Amino acid sequence: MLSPAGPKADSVAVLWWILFWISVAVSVVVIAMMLWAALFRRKETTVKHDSGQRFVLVLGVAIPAAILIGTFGLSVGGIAGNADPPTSTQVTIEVTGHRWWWEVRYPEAGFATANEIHVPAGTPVRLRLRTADVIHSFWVPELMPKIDLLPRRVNETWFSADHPGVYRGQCAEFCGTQHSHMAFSVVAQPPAAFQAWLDQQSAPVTAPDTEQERQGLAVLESSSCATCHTVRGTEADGDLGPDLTHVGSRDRLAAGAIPNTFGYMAGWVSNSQTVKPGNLMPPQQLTPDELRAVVTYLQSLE
Amino acid sequence: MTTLQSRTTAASAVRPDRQAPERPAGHTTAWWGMVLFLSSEATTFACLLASYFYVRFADPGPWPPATAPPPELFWSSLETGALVLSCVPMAVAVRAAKGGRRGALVLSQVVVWLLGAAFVCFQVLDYVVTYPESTISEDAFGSLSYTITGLHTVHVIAGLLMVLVLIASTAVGRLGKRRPEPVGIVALYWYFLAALSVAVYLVVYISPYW
Amino acid sequence: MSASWVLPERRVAEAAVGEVLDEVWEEEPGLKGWVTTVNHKRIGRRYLVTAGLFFALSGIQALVMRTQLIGPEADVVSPEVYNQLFSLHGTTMIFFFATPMLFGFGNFFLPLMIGTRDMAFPRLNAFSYWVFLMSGAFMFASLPFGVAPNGGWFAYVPLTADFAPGLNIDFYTLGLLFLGVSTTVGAINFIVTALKMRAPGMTLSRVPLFVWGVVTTSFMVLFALPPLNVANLMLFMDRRFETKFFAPEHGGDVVLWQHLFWIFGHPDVYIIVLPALGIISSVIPTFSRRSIVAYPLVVLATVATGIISFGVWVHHMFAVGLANVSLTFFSAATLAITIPGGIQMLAWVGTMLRGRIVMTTAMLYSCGFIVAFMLGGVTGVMFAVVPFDQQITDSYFVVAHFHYVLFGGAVLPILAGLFYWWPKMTGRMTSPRWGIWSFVLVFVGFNLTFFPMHISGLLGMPRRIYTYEDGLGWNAWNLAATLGSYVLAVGLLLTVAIFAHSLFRGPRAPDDPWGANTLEWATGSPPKHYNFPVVPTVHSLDPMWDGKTLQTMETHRHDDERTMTEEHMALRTSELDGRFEAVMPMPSDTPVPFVVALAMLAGFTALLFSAYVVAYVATAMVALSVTWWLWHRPGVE
Ligand code: HEA
Ligand code: HEA
Ligand code: HEC
Ligand code: CUA
Ligand SMILES: [Cu+2]
Repeated sequence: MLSPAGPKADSVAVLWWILFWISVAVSVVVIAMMLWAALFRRKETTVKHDSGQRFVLVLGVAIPAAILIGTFGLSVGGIAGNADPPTSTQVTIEVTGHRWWWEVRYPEAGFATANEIHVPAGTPVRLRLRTADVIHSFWVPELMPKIDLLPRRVNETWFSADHPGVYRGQCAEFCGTQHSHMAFSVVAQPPAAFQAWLDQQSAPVTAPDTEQERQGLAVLESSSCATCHTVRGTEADGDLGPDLTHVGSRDRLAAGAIPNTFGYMAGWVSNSQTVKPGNLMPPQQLTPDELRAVVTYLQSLE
Repeated sequence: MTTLQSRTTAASAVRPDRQAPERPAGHTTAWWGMVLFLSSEATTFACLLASYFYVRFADPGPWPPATAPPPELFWSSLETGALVLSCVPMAVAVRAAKGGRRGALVLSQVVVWLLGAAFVCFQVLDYVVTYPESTISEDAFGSLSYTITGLHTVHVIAGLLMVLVLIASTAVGRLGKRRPEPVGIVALYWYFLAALSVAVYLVVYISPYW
Repeated sequence: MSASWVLPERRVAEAAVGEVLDEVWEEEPGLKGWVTTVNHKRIGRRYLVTAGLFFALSGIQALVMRTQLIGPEADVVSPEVYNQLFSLHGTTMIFFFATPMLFGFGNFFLPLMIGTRDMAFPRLNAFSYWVFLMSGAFMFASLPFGVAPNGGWFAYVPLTADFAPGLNIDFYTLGLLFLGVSTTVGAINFIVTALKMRAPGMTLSRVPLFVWGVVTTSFMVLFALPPLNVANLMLFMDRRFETKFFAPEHGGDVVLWQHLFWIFGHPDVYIIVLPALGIISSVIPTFSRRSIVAYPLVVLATVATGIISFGVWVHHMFAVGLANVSLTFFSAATLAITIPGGIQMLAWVGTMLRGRIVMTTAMLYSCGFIVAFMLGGVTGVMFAVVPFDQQITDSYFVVAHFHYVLFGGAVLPILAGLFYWWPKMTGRMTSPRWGIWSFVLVFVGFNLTFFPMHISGLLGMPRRIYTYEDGLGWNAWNLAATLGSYVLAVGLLLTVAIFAHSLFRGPRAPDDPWGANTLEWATGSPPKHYNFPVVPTVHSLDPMWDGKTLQTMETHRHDDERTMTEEHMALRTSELDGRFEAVMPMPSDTPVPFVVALAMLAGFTALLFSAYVVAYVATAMVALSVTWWLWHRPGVE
């Protein structure tokens, strides 16, 4: 949050520096008085026996009150300033929190992905947040403050990224065993690149090219995978786990826990519990062959 | 009472059994103890009643929910009436204790006890006769209604126990003119129960009709 | 012990009635006396020792956590264990260490400071200790079995409802409900004692600030615990009996929990801190050699903190998505609560500036406290700015804030209080030289542990994570914090060693080793069972200094109303101006409080294991033993 990259985080960073300097000033004054007394009023024999009310009223009431009224102005200004986006939003994204991953839906384009949120740089994006289970909290320190995801409620907000780049986000409300591994990334792209990404993601998968990939698809459809995962264009249409339609295109797997490479994915599928203990995907009983096939297939889903 | 007077009574009060026959000036520690305890209890019920309205207004659906029967007023009105009425014999008991009339004290306490017991019976009848089907685990409406009335009833049962102890103490002569205080303190608790029953009645039984 | 160390006035008073009183107040020796005692000083000492033990246990949990966080992807404990560790650490530090520790000071010193012989309800006092001990044992017992609470110290639903199988959360709800009994009756006891048992002449404007702190805290307990109890009752029932308070799909609401919890939770942090501030207000005047500056304002600030603190709870929920009006209101209220904080802070600094400072260990800790509370306070004020809070909430910055105010604002005063009152409690002095080392290590360790957390928070590190990736810029700050916590642990161990050494080898302490201002120093070190042979008449806010109050212990030594030599007895005075009302008979030793607490422990354990029949039996036992208790009122036997 010290390196803001969007208007919302910008305004908070400004607030922070104001508050920081106020705090330094106030603390230095008080601590200096205390130290002065502690150091230099030890030998002194004259104890003043006045009531000292005025000292407290001025330094402890009047001056703080003035500072606090100013601070309240900051607070109110900040609340109002962040309420609405500077320009109207082009894209709406629906994020649903799951233990312990993020479902990301683009309702206009009509597809879902997971843990990776692509946005056009420079334009505000509308967020619609809900949860499938417990309370989570959506936080991208460099772009926007937190907002919680609550059962039976929909929280709406917006954010925007000034420049293309990848910004890390993480769940900020304790949500159980793997709260630590519930990260995501926001990928801000130039509008054209973003549009290309949208088009590519909204397409269903095409038929596999190689024999191994075909075997992988068969495993996926026939084994338990299909009860939890969706791969659009195939028979796999489960909704307990992340949508895998274009899983090969993602940078990381399992909400930021591991990089998306063949080896890591194979490790994940065969026993994700060693990678992210307590996560809700059970270990899969696959033969090495099947495993290799299904991972090869998934990796091909760009 | 002037300081001078209280000093003379207290001088004779050095031996506990010679303690002031009339009420000493100021409230006793026990009185304060009960008042503070009741303020905490009152807060507990205030939280429950506030939760009732919070849930009610957070829930977009109808209140009570379509599946739940609306509250019946027959038994609940009777029980609330009984508890409110019991304050009268309770007040009589307090006076009897101060005046040292042991017979009147026992009699009035017995009446209080019977009215309190009637309250508990009516509450149970309300549960089993009026809503034989519904349960505490049906929905938030049921959970709140049953918990509020149930917790209140538990308090009344505790009150019945206290009154029972008072009756017994009076009967064996541990209570009376010389130490009227416990009656007044139990009475505080009892009045609190009665006031609470009115609040519970208004919220749980009447407010769904608003 | 050189006799000149006994205050001359007390010597005269003891000579007149000490022997008789000794006999009247003597306690049963041995194990039986240990279980049956109702003496406030023994109970207070027990509170301190037990809470200190819980502090050590809970601190060791923190050390394990810090070790797990020493570097990225460390593998010291599993996520399940880590989650239990921080939940139990937070819960036990707040509920089983901080509040009871300060209640321990209150128990020992409140009656001494107001010049009476015991608490208003000594048997209830014993009861509240036993319940505290048993509920603490109940709560800590969960950890060895791997079923400690694991939902964080505020246990948000629905995570703790439908998504938490196992006994973990049941330990939490039942343990806190059980402890709540102790805290509530303890609070009633403090209030009544302070209202009705102050020595004659102690009008409200002469009440020591520590007593104001304890009494305000106690009032807050009475109104703050009910929402917590209601919330825990609802959660317990949701989990066990399938009620639907927090079940969104059946009309329940999850935010209800948050409101109930924080209506308790925010006042609770001041419940902890007010008596701690009271300790500081006792130490600083003594070692500044003058009366506290602006006493009426400080009293006002204490009470105002208590009241305003009930109106700020939503600042813990700024990220929930509540309406903007509500955010604005609670932002303002939160800022307002800074003013009483400022008043007290400036009163201490002002007192020091106008006085002559005597640098004892207790005073060192008080100065350390001022620094820590200042830094912790200003970060609190930052959170009042809503967008800033929404950005930084649930990050390590918050962890830094609350350790500055909890460790800095409560533990440092507790240490100051221990050093200050140790001679009074044990009759032994501690080593001033080692005291400096204790302070330096603790203060440096404390800052090294918690200051870096501000920075890791600003760098985006969320709280309650058992591990983090490399390359996020958090490594160095976490390493520093972990090393700091080791320094802190060494400092605390040294402190324990200093006290242990003093207990066996320390020089004897006189009645008033510091030249202090309040009445506890007019008693022996340690005080006799009856505290004051002759209850004095209080003439000022600083009775030890006014040259008149002590004199009255001599002049009244033949006055039956002040010596009360016949049985356990104490004075009752009027609420506002401390005028004599009556002499009250006080109870003596009894095992009943212990029995009631034991029956309750049986009941709560039965509830935990769903043995509801046993729970009914236990309830009946409680009812019976309480009846027995009420039957045997003092003065009627
Ligand atoms: C002893 C405990 C204690 C104390 C005393 C305080 C004191 C304060 N706290 Fe803190 N707080 C906690 C314990 C405490 N807090 C805990 C445990 C949490 C986290 C709970 C959790 O999430 O687990 C928390 C969290 C917390 C939050 C929520 C953060 C979040 O989760 O997002 C907020 C928000 O407003 C807050 C505010 C304040 C304020 C304004 C004060 C003020 O009272 C401070 C006032 C004092 C001073 C400021 C210093 C002296 C003043 C002056 C010298 C005057 C001049 C000063 C100025 C003009 C600035 N606290
Ligand atoms: C009074 C309250 C209090 C105190 C004193 C402390 C003290 C400490 N706390 Fe804690 N802490 C909390 C209250 C407190 N804490 C709360 C409320 C939370 C939030 C929990 C949640 O999120 O739910 C928290 C959370 C918390 C976290 C965040 C966990 C997370 O979010 O993942 C961390 C991490 O470093 C931490 C560390 C420490 C450390 C190192 C200490 C150290 O100061 C500890 C020092 C103590 C010791 C080292 C023990 C000393 C040993 C002895 C004295 C030996 C004596 C021996 C005998 C007598 C036999 N605490
Ligand atoms: C019981 C449900 C379930 C089954 C069966 C299941 N998964 Fe999963 N899967 C999940 C869940 C839940 C996650 C998210 C875990 C997390 O990140 O915490 C997941 C995550 C994944 C991911 C990472 C996705 C991403 O974008 O991060 C891959 C790849 C994956 N599963 C592949 C498979 C394969 C292949 C199979 C079958 C062989 C399978 N899963 C079977 C529930 C399941
Ligand atoms: Cu989801 Cu933390
Ligand atoms: Cu707060």
